[in-house]
Amino acid sequence: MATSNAQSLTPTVDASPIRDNYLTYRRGVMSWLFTLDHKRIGVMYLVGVLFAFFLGGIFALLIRTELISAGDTLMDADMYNQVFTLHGVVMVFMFIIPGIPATLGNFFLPIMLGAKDVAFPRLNLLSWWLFIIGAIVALTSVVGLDTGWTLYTPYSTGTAAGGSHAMMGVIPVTAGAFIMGFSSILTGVNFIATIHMLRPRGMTWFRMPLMLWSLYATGVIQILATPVLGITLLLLIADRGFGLGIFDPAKGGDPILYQHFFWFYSHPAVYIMILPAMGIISEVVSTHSHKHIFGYKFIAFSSLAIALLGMFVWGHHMFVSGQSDIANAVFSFLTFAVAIPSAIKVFNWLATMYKGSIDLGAPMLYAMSFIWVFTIGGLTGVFLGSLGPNIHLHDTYFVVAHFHYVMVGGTVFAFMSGLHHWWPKMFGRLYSQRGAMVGWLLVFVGFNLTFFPQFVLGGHGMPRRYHDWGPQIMRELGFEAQVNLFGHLHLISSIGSYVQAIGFLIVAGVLVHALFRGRRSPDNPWGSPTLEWTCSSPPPHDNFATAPVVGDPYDMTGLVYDRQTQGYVRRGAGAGSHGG
Amino acid sequence: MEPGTAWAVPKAVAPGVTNMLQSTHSLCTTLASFWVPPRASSHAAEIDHSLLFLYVVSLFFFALIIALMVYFAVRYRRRGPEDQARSQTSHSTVLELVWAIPPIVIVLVAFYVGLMGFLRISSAKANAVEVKVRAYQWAWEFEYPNGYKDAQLHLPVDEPVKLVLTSDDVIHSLFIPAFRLKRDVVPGRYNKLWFTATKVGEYPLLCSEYCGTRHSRMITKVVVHGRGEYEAWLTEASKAPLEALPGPMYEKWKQLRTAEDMDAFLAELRQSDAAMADSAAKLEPPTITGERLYRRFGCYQCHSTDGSRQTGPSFQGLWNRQRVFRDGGEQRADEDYIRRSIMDPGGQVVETYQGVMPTYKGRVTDRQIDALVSFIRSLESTQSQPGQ
Repeated sequence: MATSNAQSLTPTVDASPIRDNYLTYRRGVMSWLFTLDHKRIGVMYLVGVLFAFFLGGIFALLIRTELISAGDTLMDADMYNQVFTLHGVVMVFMFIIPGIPATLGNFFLPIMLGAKDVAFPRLNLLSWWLFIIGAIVALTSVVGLDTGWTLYTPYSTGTAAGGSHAMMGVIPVTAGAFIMGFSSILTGVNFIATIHMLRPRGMTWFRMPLMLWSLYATGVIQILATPVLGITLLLLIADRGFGLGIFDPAKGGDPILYQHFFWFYSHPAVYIMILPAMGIISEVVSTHSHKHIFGYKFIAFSSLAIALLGMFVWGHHMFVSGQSDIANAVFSFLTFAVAIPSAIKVFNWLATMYKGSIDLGAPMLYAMSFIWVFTIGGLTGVFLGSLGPNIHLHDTYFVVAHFHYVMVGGTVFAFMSGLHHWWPKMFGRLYSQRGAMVGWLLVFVGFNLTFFPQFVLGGHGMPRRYHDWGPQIMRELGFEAQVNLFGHLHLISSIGSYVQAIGFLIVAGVLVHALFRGRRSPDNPWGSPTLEWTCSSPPPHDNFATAPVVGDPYDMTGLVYDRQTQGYVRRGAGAGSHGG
Repeated sequence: MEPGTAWAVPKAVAPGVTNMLQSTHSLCTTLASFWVPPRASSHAAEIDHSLLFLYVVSLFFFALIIALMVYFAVRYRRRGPEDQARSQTSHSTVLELVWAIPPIVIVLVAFYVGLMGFLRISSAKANAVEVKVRAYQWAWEFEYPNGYKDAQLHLPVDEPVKLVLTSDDVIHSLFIPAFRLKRDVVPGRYNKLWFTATKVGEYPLLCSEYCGTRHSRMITKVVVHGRGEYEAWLTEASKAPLEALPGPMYEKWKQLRTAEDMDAFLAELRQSDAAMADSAAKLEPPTITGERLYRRFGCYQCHSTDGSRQTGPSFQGLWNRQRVFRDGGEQRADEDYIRRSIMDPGGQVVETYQGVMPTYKGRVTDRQIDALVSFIRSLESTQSQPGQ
């Protein structure tokens, strides 16, 4: 419906940037909240997930501040347990899972494909609303939820002794995650349908930018795995609300069964987080190296391989639960198998840089940091996938460091890379490169300072989710040396988190400043050959006035620098964007 | 190249190689001290070898990847908006297949090294000293073979130890960093561990599965005793709570063999000192508690203790026997089997029996099941021989 309205109103000639685009197409709050335009929905998601990132970041800083010194620094144990739970819930369900696909994916999937919108624009809007409603429902658990985001039974079903836990929030957070799960499923359905049905003439599967391959693979996981989370959460509600006893050993249930159900979704969810990130890196590395991506098919198929293998590795979360040795061996093997396509991608990115013309602006710096942190995250994942070392490292800070290297290091750095890469396209303004680089430096240094010491902490036996790393009892038992070591490492980690926080604030300042004061961006400021750069910055309401001409998405030849606009144009093409 | 596996090679190779291996090993030990605490169990060496192998491999690949990335970024940096890449090569199938090989090989080796280490440490050891571990919010309880319970884990050095773990409430996890030992403590099942402590000393024992408010206080210590000292400690420690008993009563307590004896003893004690009776009851050997429950729940109506067949199988000689079920399944009669038989008797009816036992789900607590298990174990070979 929107598209038919749109067609009559879309300018047929290339309008000068800013004046007539998706941002100015209609005005008013309602024109945003009920828009069917994938770009506006992407921007609304961006606002939502960045708010969640901010909120989760505040919780993270509270955690790190508490851990600066032994004992109660800022809060007592119950409060701390709630804060780390909320940090996990907000960051996982509201930030990282929807993070890249729902924001940059929503905005760029149709444009990069050469389509006017996603296949089901109304469903897309519904996804956003479900996300917001789910997030609000989940956040009502603020009053009391100390189970950790994993909600392990029988602790979360509350049938156990103890009494003092604040677990009012289990049902709200479960219901919220259930609702947000539908948002995720619908987005996946929409992306897959769009890629199958809306490719314009000439857009064959192997002419799709790699970002689309990774979003496609992500969509597959979202559709296959998320319903399992939904079922699990319903069972959990039934257990907690009605005492069904599926996961309650006192009633003949099995608490480990919950872990199987939970990780059957939540491990693939890690790939929901990281695959789109890899897609961004493929785009950024190629564009900012001004070189054809190396090994397109290997990268594309490795996304699918990761999605497929990633569905069968969930059992590595239960190596020490008492699971059978055979199950352990199989899950360990499959876990290792996932490392192979990941390694292939890293090598291909390096090969893309080789003999390129590498522009070390903010997007590329983030992409290179991604390779740095993702390599560490991936290699330490091999430690955890290995059965012997896993016994020692399981549930320690080593695990915390590992998944922060993969999620923050991987997904957030890629997200930052993508934001800096596409910001000029999304809002038509260039940001200050110098400011962005200062922000990057602080984020990168702060990140490593925060999380690297945690590998050492874990190796020395510091368990996760401890409110106090130096409880009196450790001293009484005579373990002063361990306590002192933990103290030093935690202090470094906390300092790192503040550096990171300042870095992210600078990044936010630079990007927001660009919105109001930034120089107008040319259509193609980086010299990228993919389709989104052929439409104006910001894009017009329905993306393309005429069907775009589709070729090799990484063909750099013919892109020449235009001094007047300070952007790149295709040689032989008119001042306009569509190549003829 | 591969310190982890190299060290496992028997020493019977040429002396030069042995020297090399030893220096590699000492280098590894130095490297290890940065990452992990000093090791104090048979597990630790196994796990550290795989860890160090992975560490060296990871360091190599990380250094390689980062060096290439930084070199390319500097060497091929863009020199202006009109600069061109020096190449537009888009793929090389041969090259890509070739560089997929090292990760595949490493992954296979790492998997193998990790798995073998894991299997070696998770296999059952014969003649192990058995300690029952019970976790609850938020403390540990260790029950020694004579029924004595302590808040700390005491072990003999250089002797195989078996831990049987179970929880009263939520999932906990037993973690001893110096032993590289960890296993979840799950309510409703018995997880088992075998290992040998190799160094006399005291080490922290922590809970590593989040379990609520005082999770970070659920810490105690492991004390590894020198040769012969463990038994002395156990005798001494078991005596302590009863030391206040009048001498003759203590002698009597030591002679207790059956539940009836225990009841009579407690009744006698209660007449003089109720508090003392309570603490004596807490020290009741688990086999005696089990026998008492055997009568209270009426198990004796269908299960004999003398080997005679009644409605159900006799308890005598049941422990550790291979059971064959009506549906063809098989299972050794261990803790988990007994627990399931009590909670869900219809799920595993032994062949030639009718399967008429009602479930005791909701009527029997985990601790009571433990006591029943102890009782059934005590009937292993001969007539009832509970207690010490």
